[in-house]
Amino acid sequence: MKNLKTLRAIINLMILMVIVVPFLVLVVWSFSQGWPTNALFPKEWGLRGWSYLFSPESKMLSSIATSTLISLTVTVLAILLSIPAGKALGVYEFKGKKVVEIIVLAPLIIPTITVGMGIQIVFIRYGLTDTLLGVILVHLPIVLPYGIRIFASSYKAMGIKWEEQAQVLKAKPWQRFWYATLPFLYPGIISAGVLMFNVSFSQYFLTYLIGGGKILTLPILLFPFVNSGDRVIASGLGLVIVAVSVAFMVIVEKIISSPEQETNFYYL
Amino acid sequence: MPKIILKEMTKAYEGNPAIARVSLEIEDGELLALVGHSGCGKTTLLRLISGLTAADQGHIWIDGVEVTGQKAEERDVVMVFQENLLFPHLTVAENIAFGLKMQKVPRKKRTEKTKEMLELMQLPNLGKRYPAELSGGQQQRVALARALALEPKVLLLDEPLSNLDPKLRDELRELILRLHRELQMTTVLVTHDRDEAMMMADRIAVLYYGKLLQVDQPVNIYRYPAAREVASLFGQCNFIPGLLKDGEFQTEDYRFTVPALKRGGRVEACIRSEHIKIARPQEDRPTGVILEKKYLGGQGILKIGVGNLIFVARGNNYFDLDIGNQVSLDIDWSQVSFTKGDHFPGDQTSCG
Repeated sequence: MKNLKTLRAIINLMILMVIVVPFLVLVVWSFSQGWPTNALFPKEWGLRGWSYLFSPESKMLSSIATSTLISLTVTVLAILLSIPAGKALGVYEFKGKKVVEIIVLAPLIIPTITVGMGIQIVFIRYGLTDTLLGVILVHLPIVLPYGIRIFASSYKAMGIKWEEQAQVLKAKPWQRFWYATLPFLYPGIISAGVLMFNVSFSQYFLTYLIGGGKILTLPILLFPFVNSGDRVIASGLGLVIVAVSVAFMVIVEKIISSPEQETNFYYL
Repeated sequence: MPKIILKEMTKAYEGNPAIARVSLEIEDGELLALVGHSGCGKTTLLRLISGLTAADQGHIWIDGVEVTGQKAEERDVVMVFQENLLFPHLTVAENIAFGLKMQKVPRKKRTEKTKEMLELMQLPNLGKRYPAELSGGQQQRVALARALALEPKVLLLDEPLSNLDPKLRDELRELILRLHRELQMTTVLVTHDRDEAMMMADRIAVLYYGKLLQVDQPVNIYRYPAAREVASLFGQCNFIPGLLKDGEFQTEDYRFTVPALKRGGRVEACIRSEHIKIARPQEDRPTGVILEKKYLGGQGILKIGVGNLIFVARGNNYFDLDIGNQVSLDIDWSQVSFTKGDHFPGDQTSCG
């Protein structure tokens, strides 16, 4: 018994280290002025990083807006697309279902570089490179697999019995979706939404490829500082990225989960 | 004029017929029980009536109007499922008002109807609760209330009592019967419980592998089963093949005098276990040895081997008898039904 407790304590500590320590390092870095390689703590502290980030020349605030706009649009579009797709995969049997499943999951497996090149050539032809719309479109296939997977399992668990129940109670198709199905999807919308927002939000390569450096999202802004070794500013930006993601998660939870659902008896 | 008319309804799933050319008329205000083994088309037939499932062939009329092509939301029919399927995110009152809301009935009217339904179901003060906070019996009542709130022409019940414990089952059965009488609603009830069907139904329709074997009043179903399958569905039967001739039923070893019957020729007698009495060994009666003895509380069941036949008799507890004893059978022939010897040609594999 005692051994088990010790073991548990050790595991908890390890988890804590893995999650919290990198954060602390970021915080420490962002408030430092100079940090010699062999020192445990920075020699000098200061606000150089933060004052640069909040100055207009850093473009941090505008790229927060751009990033949020892109990721929010991508997330909303992806949810609207993946709910019907998830229903098809979760509830219906049709020919070639296995093939569709593989195609849907492909973006998770195939390296984005391979796809990105092809997409770029097509997008150049249609004048979609260097545009906000182009970036949004290229993020979509990357985030869709997450949503489709989640909604497919939501639908698999719930089946169509609730829709049928609503139907015998004279609900028309859209009423069946709105009043009977949607409430069961809320938990899926939260998890899929948060996941997809974060994947889109931290996307560097495709944004760079299609946005051509003209669409300034937070990761695009971050990269030069990581590259040039300015860890002070890079750490500050990293924290900002985390802060926006967390803020999004909290807001989504607040909007979607209503108090009567807190029993969460049908969370999937 | 009948409330519901089904004509030659057929439905197959992936080539396996679930319902095969079923024609049925259900009278206005009648409570019809659909009975059969599980997986033999009862629920499919109910879904065909509700409109949730479209028939491959056949026609259906409700209240004189053909509704074959209508979807479930267009038919004036409400179905209560076996799992009560109360929406967990809605309160009891919101659940009951669901159908009215879908039909855009004004809020004030909805509230009134909901209140009326809660009182009818003897569930006052539960309107603000959520389904998860109710007991199984209460949930089933709410499901019933939700269906009745729409005042449908036809109410379909898919094994509404099967998930309840015996005491609640009795209560809810009485409630359904009372509501059925008060509201004069045409009701179709699916059940695999023969006692439930016998007690509740005005008429019973027996389904066997997608085909209708017999539709009749409970008494007739029990006393004059149209086929061996119907007989064995409603109680334990001893099937004895023989020849019916000149007021006599002849088996290989015995001749019995039976009440006058229209039917003659090769038949199968269905002797119910409760119609066999045990007597002392007598020469002119089938006599055999007790092979097995079981207690069922108030009743006892004996298995008796007579020649190469085995009879099952059910009666009082036979405390004075034991395995190995010689006994004679006293059969009440006035209660015995005769069916044609051949079995119903049901395709055993088609049961889905």
